[in-house]
Amino acid sequence: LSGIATGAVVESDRIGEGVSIGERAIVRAGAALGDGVVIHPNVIVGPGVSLGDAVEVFPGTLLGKAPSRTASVARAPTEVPRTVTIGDGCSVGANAVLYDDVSIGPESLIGDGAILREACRVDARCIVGRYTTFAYEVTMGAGSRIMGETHITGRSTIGERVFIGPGVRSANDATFGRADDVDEVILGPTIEDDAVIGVGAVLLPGVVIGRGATVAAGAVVTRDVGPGTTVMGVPARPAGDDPASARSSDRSGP
Amino acid sequence: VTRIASGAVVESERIGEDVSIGEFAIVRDGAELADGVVLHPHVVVGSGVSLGERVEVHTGAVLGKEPALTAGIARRPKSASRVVTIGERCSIGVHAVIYYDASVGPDTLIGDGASIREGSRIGAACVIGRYTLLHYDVTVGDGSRIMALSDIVGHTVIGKDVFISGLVSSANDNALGREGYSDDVMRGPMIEDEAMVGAGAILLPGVVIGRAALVAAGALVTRDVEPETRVMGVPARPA
Repeated sequence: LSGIATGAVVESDRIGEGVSIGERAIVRAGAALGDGVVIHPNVIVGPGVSLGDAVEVFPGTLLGKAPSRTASVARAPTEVPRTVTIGDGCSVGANAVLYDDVSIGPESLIGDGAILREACRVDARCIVGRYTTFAYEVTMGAGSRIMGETHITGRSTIGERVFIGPGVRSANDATFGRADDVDEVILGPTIEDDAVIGVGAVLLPGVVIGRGATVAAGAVVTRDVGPGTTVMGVPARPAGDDPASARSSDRSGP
Repeated sequence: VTRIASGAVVESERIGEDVSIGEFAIVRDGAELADGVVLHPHVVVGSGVSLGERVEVHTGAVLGKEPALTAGIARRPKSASRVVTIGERCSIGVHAVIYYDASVGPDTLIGDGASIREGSRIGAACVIGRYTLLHYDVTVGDGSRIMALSDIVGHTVIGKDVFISGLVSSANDNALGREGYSDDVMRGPMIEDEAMVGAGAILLPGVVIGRAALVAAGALVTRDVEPETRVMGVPARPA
């Protein structure tokens, strides 16, 4: 049996069993809610949104936002389908924003206030931390985790089981928006499987962080990092083969 | 005289005098609002939340959120109490989120969008800046102030009258998640009374910032900082 609270607006008839929809939540026509979905108050579920079984969406979250197209935007957003797909068992929000054409694999967590722009693909069992922002066309492999207040720039590729600490920043345009065709030069970092990125690191456009590599906290990565290697510093340089040398417990310091 | 605006949902009977509840705010059964509390529109106050006298909660704030338990979480949240206690005269910002099993002392300001997780204990007369994150089991002593967009990691201990500037980040796991999670191993920074941390500084796991020490803006703190000393740079060294 489903419970729809006072003031909720439910236009869709594709509502599963045992669904709970909170006060003033809005579920547009065309949205689909699996069994056991919990929609907290003041959530907006757009028309092309599909939620798997037992998804929980916390208050104030917006699912299915169209990209903005003001004259000030350097790169006009590509046309994307108005669909958002969220797998079974995910938790989203509060106050998160998912744009159109975003998909989230099962058992993933999208933190409070996180924002994922159009054409992002997040696989299963991932974590996107609180207030972490994804620009457009980011892919994130299964089991990867990103902590809070991190910015993943447009056209970044994140492999499987990657760990990205809090406050990490990334860039995708070495021309700082000066190129005639911004869309041709834009490329975000590629972070291969099992790599880890320390707190507050900065990843510059197009760098490849190799499989199992370690980027130390606060490092500024200006060039590719080989698989299994550790880099640290500003600019980041190899620190030897022992990942432990990147740890704060190494009291001799880097 | 208590005023409940149209569209507000008030399930609780524990509402004090001179309370104001804005449009579409929700007060669940079992929540407690003391005299003079002001809830702006669209606020959600969960069951088990207790607001002291003259607390003001701004639009869209969520008080009383359960921790998520998806498969990707390394640390299983401990069984937290379903209680949030907010002291007298606090102000809670627009879209702020406070998880269950958190407490905030009197006269403290929680900025817009701040998110405070389970097990956090914030003292009296503190400031938690806009969009600043407190992870689980963080302690903030009386009179301490954290500016905007800082990320305070789990198990961090902050003393009294500490000042932490904006965009400060921290870590508690030297293995960067590679060795799983154990509460016995994770150690956040410890920031002693009256210490100061500049904008954009990064604090690595387990570092102790001594009493009245100063960490310069942008410093990367990889080892302990002695009381009343200054450090700066990457990695941070005594000035």
